[in-house]
Order: sequence, then C-alpha cells, then structure tokens
Amino acid sequence: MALPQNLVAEFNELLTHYPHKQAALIPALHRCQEELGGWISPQTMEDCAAFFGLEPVEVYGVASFYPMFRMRPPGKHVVSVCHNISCALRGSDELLAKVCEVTGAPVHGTSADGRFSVNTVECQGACANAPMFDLDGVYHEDLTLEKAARILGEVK
Amino acid sequence: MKDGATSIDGQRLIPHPGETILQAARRAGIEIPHVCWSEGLAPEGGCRVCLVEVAGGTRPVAACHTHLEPGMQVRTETPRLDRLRREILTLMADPHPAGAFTDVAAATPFGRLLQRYGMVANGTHPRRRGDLDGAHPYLHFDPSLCIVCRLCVHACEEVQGSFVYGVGGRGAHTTLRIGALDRYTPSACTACGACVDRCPTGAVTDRDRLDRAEADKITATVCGYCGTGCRIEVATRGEEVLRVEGVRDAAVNRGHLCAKGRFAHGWHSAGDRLTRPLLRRAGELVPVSWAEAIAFAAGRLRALRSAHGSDAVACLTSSRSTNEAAYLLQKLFRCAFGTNHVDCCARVCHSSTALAMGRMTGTSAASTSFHDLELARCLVVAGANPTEAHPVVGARIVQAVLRGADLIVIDPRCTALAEYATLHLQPRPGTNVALLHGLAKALLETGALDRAYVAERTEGLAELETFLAGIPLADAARISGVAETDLRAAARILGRGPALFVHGLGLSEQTQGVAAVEALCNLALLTGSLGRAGAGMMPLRGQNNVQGNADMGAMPDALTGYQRVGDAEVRARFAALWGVPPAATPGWTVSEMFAAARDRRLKALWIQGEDPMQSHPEPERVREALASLDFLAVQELFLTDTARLAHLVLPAAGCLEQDGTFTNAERRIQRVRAAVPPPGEARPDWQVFVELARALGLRWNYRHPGEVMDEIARAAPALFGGVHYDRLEGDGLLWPCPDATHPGTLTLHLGGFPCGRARFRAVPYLPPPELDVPGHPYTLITGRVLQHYNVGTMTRRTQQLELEPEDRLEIHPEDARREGLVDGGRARVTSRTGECVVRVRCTARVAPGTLFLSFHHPQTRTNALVGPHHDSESKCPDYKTVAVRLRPE
Repeated sequence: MALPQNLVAEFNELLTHYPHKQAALIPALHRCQEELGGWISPQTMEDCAAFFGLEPVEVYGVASFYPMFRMRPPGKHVVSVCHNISCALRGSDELLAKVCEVTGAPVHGTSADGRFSVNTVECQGACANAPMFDLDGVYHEDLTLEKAARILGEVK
Repeated sequence: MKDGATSIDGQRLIPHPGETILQAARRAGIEIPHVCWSEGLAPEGGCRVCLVEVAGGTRPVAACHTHLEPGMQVRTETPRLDRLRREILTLMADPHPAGAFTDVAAATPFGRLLQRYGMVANGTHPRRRGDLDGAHPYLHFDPSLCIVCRLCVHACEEVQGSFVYGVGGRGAHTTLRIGALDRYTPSACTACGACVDRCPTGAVTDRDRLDRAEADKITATVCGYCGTGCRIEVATRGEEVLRVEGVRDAAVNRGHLCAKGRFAHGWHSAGDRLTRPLLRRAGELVPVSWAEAIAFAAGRLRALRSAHGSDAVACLTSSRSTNEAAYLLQKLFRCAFGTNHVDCCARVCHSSTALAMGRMTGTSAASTSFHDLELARCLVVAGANPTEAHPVVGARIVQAVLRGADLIVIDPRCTALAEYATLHLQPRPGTNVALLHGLAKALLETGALDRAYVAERTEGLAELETFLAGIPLADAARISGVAETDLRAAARILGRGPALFVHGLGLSEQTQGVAAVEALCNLALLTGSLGRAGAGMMPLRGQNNVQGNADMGAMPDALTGYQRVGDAEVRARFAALWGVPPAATPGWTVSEMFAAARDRRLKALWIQGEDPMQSHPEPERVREALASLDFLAVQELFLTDTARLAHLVLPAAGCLEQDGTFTNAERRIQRVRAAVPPPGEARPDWQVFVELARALGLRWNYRHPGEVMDEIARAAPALFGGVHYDRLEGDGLLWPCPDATHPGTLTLHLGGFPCGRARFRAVPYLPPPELDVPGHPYTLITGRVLQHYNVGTMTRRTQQLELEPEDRLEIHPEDARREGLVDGGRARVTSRTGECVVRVRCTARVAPGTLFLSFHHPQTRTNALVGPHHDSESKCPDYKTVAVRLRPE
C-alpha cells in the first residue's frame, strides 16, 4: 500500500514549507485523517513513516500524543459537544447526555451500529450562541435538548 | 586551578573531559541510584532518580547528564535527595499492581532499588493495562511491569539500530509501544535482545530469562556462529544451557549479540545429536566403540595410502572447529601420509579474497579491525549483507552511519544497509568487475586520489591508468546497470579521503571473484586506505573460524601461517618441528579432490564438520564423488546428508562443548571454553586427531589445546610467536603477534606492505557464463538470511525455525505478476543444472530480473541450481549468478 497520489503531491508541496521533512508530519496526518477514513490507521502510519523517513512507531508516538488524531475508526457521523465554561453554564452536560441517548454512543466512543461517534471538545469560539455542538464539521448553536434530538434525528 | 577541589561525597577526583557526574562517580566507586541510565547509551534524563546536589547550586541536578566540571563539590546522599528519590520511586511504582516488582526484586535493578528504599508497588493508581505479548518465540513484554523509562527505546536505536520501540500517548497515559501494531511480530524487530539487556524492571524479557533458573556455572567463551566472534557468557546448570549473554566490555561486540548467538543454542541438546561412533557394516551405520572406530580409521587410511600412494588420501578441516583441531588435522595428514591434499571451506567462500589480497598487499586477511568501523569517515560495503549475515558488525556499521559516516553500498539487492546508504549502487549480478573499474576510472577523472600515498607505497599506477583509459565510463555504466552520474557521485565521496572497504561473498563467490576483489583493492590503494586506522579492507568471514583454518595451514599450497609448501627453507623448518618433512608439491583444492574421487584417484577422504552435500554446487556430482571413495570419515554433530554417505561417522563436540581458540574476521584469536560436556561419547576433534595419530604410529602427547597453541606459535612465529593461552584472556590477540611482549596488531600495513609496494592489478571484465542465457530470463543470487546459519544444521534445530520456517524465493512484485506467482505461493525454479520448488516472497528488495534464495534447508536443494562455473584461479564456485527460469507450481 502507499499514500494516494493526490496526498503525495500535496505532501511534496508541504515539505517545501519546513526545514526538515519530518516536521511536516503533523499537518500531513490531519490531511490523512480527513481523506483516509477519519482516523490514523496502522496502514496510514506505515505509509506516512515511509514517506517521511520515520519508523511507523514514531508516527504512532506523534499521532497518539495529540487528541485531535483518532486512533480508532470513527462512526459515520461525528458529534463534538463543547463543554467549556459558556456552554457548561448553559447546559452542555444535559446536552451531552441527550446526544449520547439519541445516538446510542458513549462519550468518546462510537454507537454499536457504527453510525455515531461522540466527543467532548474545548471551546469552539461560539460562546455567544452556547450551547453548541459540531456535527460533521457543521456548527449547530443555541441548542435545546429538543433541537439537538431533531437535528440528530434528521441525519439518522 | 580549582581542579584540586573537585569532589564527589568528599572524595577528590580529577574530572575527565566530557564525563558526567554519574560516570565520574562510578569511576570513583560511588554508585548513584538511577533508573533510566545505562552504560553506553545516551542519557535519557527522564527518571530524575540520579539527582545530586552541587555545592553552591540552588536545586539538585541529574547526575546522568550534568558534566563534572572542575571545582564542583557533589553530594550524592542528603536528606533532601533521599526524600526526592522516595517521591519519584513512589510515582513510578504506584501505578503498578500490588507487589509487581517484589517477586523479581533481586533479579532486576528497579526491584533492587525499591528494596533498598523499602518500597513496594501498591496498586493505588493502577493504569498499566494490556496483555502480555507472549507470541514471539523469544521476546516477551509485560506492560504491568513497564515504567516507560525508555531504556529499551535507546538500546534498540543506539545498539541495534532497529527503531522497534516507541512511546505513545501523553502524561499519565504514556505507554511503551512495540512497532506500529504493538507486537514484536510483525515489526522491524530482529530479536537481538539488546532491549532485554537494558530493561530495569523485567517488563521486556525473553524466553531464557523468564524462568529465572539459577545457574551453577558461568563460562566465558566465544559465539560459534559467524565470523564476527562475539564474546559470550554461557550460564549453565549441570549440562543444561540456561542463558547466553554478551560480554559488556568485549572489544568485538560490547555486550551486543544477535538472535542466533543469544537464543539459538538449543541445537546442542537436540535429540538427534550424534553420541556414538557409527561404522558402516553391511550397508548400515551401526554404533561401535571409539577404540574400534579409531582402529578402523587408522587401518583403512594406512592401507589405502600404502596401496595407492600419498595422492590417495585427503582431508577437509572444519571452519566450525578450533584452530588447534585444524592445525592437528593438517599436520596429521601431512606427517602421516605425506600429502598436501588439505583444504577447508574457505575454498568455496573467500578463496578469491585470499588470493587477491595476498597477491596485492602480501597479507590475505582483513587489514583492519571492527574498532575501525567507528573511526571510519566513509564505509564502502560491497557484496555483503552484514545486518543479516554478521548482525553485530551490521549493527556497528548502522551506528557509524547514524553518527554521520558516509556509506556506499554496492549490492544488487536493496539490503537493510542500502536503506541507510548515502549512495546505493545496484549492479546487475555478475558485473562487479565492470562496476569497480568504472569507479576507479571516475575516481581518476576527479583527480582526487591520494597521490603521495600512491607514489610512496604502490606500483603500477601508469599501467592501471592505461588500462582504465581503454574503458569508457559509459561502458561500465551500461554493463553494470549503474548510471554514470552515480559512478561519479560515488567517486566524489571516495575522493574525500581514505575509506573502509567491507566486502563479502557477493564479490568473491563469482567467476571473476579474484578480479573483483583486486578491483576493490585498487580503490583502497587509490584512496590511500590500506595501512591507516579507520580505513582499509575488511573481508567479512563467514564461519566462526574460517580465518583460523586458513591461518593454521588448511590449504593445499601453504603450511601454518601462510608459509608456502614450495619453499625448501619453510619445509626444512617444519621438518625440524614435526620430525617429518612436509611434501613439496601443492595438493588439491576441495573441488579437485571431488574430481579425483570421481576418477577413482582419491581413495580416502576425512571430512571434519562440513556438509558439502548441501553447501557445494551440484550436489549430485558431490554425491558421486563421495560415493566413489573407498573410505569416507565424517566428524559431525548430526547425521547430515554428507555423514549419511560415510563409512565412519564420529560424534563431535560443538562450540559450547570444547576448549581451544577461534580466530574471527579481524584476525582476533580468542579463547573458547567448554560450557557443557559433549553429549554421550561425543569428543572434541583435537582429541580424536591425537588418538588417530597415535594409532598411526606418531608420538603425539598433547594433553591440552594450549600445548597445541604453543606449537602453532613455534610453527609460524612471525604471525603467532607471541600467542599463548595466558595472553588470550579477555579480548585475545590480533595477529601478527610475533613475540611475548608484542600487543598484537589492530591495523596492518601501518609502516608498509610485507611485499614492499602494493601493486595495482586490473583484468578486463568478462560476462559471467550464467548472464543473459537464452530461455533463462532471471538471475538468481544465493545467500543467507538473518534467522539461519549456513546449511542450518544448528539453527533448524532451534526456535529460529519459528521466525523463518523455510527458504523463500525473493522476487520483484512485477516479475511475480508476469510469471503468475503470488506471495506465499510456490514456484518451480529451473537452471541449466537443476531445479527446485520453493515458496515465493514478493519484495522490492530485489531488482526486476533478479532473484534471491537462501540455502539453509536441505529439502530446498538450492545449490542443485548452482552450476559448475568457478573462478579460474581461486576455484571458488559462482553461487551469485545463476541463470534460471520460473513457473508457478
């Protein structure tokens, strides 16, 4: 296996921004996560290791250090619930419980049917419209429990 | 000066440049507690247990990475340090299950440390999870004991260079990771065990250490596998081998070993070891007494010698046995039968090297030592795969490259070293001579040769220049398949100064083996490399004592110490020493012996520990030769294919079962000692020769191999005059060592060559007969893999078999696709000589059109593919260029 051609081309360009090629690993892993199944698979680690002149275990060391890299495949939809102060004051605990209930996924886990993964995240910069979650990259703000259930119900 | 004031715990000492407080304290006999530091590895500085207080400092510093500066006054034990260490140890131990380290307290450094501070793991914050990785035949990892000190990470990187371990996660969730999949298999792990040596808690351990059996004896000896000659300590209980460890201060290996040396010792107690002499009666091999066996052997040899003359008897010494045994066997045949038909397996490996280097420089052995690998600015590895065939040398080369040495790899395969190389020149098999001439030409064109050295120490440059002028660089590039730009790039690297040229059988086992080694030697001379530290030539010898066999005179044309049989003065000296003059006519090489046997000229052959049925080309021709003999005696550990053909089979002692010396690839003579007795009635070879000699009427009275070595010193005083067992403790001696006060010789030719000036030699490239054969589109290279050793007699009887169960044909994925072969499927390989069926491994390690196959398993019959071609001068067979065709099976 090897990295897809579009990523190789992108990474070759990416390398020109850094003094050492290993330094480009983190942005490259973000792109891999976006393009290759939403997580950093062992195959991705091996392919990136080969590309960046590292050992697979070194790529693992980097990927596992940062919480934004997923080390397990996520569900089809990813719900990231903010739990920082503004959202917490406006009921993010209840929101999170509701999200788990509707999706059937545990916090930092994936539902048994593989449809949903649920995370908590730090401030997403939407405090004025707390509470909020990010569903597959789209912000949903001023959430009530009913609104949240409806939004999640619609993607089901 | 403030020097006088420097002290540790009140003990005054003079700081050494670059020395840390921890190292200086150890020098002074003060052991500062530590967890993540280990001698010889870069300080991690993570555990903080080695904190010490420096007078005038505001806070404690880590002794492992703080240099001892002049004037420093260091305290290693204070109430504050004690408190800090207890806190740190608590943090380290507590997450582990209650009592985790207690049962191994005495056995591990961390356990001892906890014991010293009266602490135990109490499991208050358990966080280590995961299963014990027990799937690997040797290595085990128990996460519940891992404190993530990273010593295994350092050992894997800085000793072996394999980068298997990493650390994942963050903060309290940090865990050790083994490869990307958290398993030893599959990963880059070579099972060298360097991590086990350093792990302070027993989290990383191995098969032999898991049971923690108590040894009743530790024997210091030398590994019996390859020609590296690693010093080992063998822990035994009774006749059982418990563990093998590397000797930490050994010059050769510094504590390091490979999987074979460390773990593959089970063969010695294998159930099918030969334990009694076997004599063929009515077609069957039946057990007999030693007295009967010796009497029979002496009777047959004497009768055949009397009836057919001195040409009727011959012997092959074993490169696996000791110097003393080899010396006695060649002496026995020369004295008792007046024959020079003495040879050894060096004939089928480095005979080309011996001939070429002897002719050009006057000495046919490595000009340099393994120590020089670390001093080298540039390494050239040609036709050698040391990370597999000589793993400890390979690891030292990897480390030299990681520290910044240039590396040029010349190999048709993309070996592990090629991946580290500054430049990998990938010639078509069989074209070394064209490639190396091309390099010499490119070097001359850059003008960057060492002119002063060439003028002072060599002759024949003008002829070489004329010769090379007639070879267009484009031709060298076209023939070898290596681009002109790469040849020029390599020449620019070589032009920067002396280099260390490491070569192996990829150069010598070819129809132009001698010419290739000569061409490499030309490069060594042009760059002024021979006779300099950190440079020179280093042929990697295959067997543990193949160097020693040649040194001892196991050659048809030379006596002990390379003294020519044709020299009357030499013969006179040996006559005085032996009481019998050796014959003046050079004898037969092994291939000539086999030819003579087939022609019924040779009647009796004595084979000491060798299996030519598997290791030589054309096994059917070998069988024909051996079956034609009136008397074939074989000394062996097991009933090999060769032993099955013998009239007399004598059970031999293995390398862990006898005393003597081995000489490694750097000319280092080291002491070998019996760790366990041989099984049953098996005997060390040297004792058998003494008895045989007595039965033949010679008055031999050697009581110990040390007495044989004393005679060897007298036989070849220029090389071994100062070699005596008293001087072979520890790291031994590198020959030449002419007298009792001589320290031995690390680097040869420092002051000049034995032949005066070294002479350039160049012969034109000739295409090997097996290249571009119609109907045979692939070129097969045969060789070794990491997990096995030669014909596999030893390694196939160990768990190495689990790591690599069979010989595999390496083929480029494109070729496999074209031939309809799949990874793991079977292929029929057919050469003009023979054929075999093997399992396929698809890998880009081989170039398209090239194949690789090992010869470790008798059922593979790899050497049945190898044809009759050999170097016309050295008689070394061409195992490296075999024309074959393929089809799926």
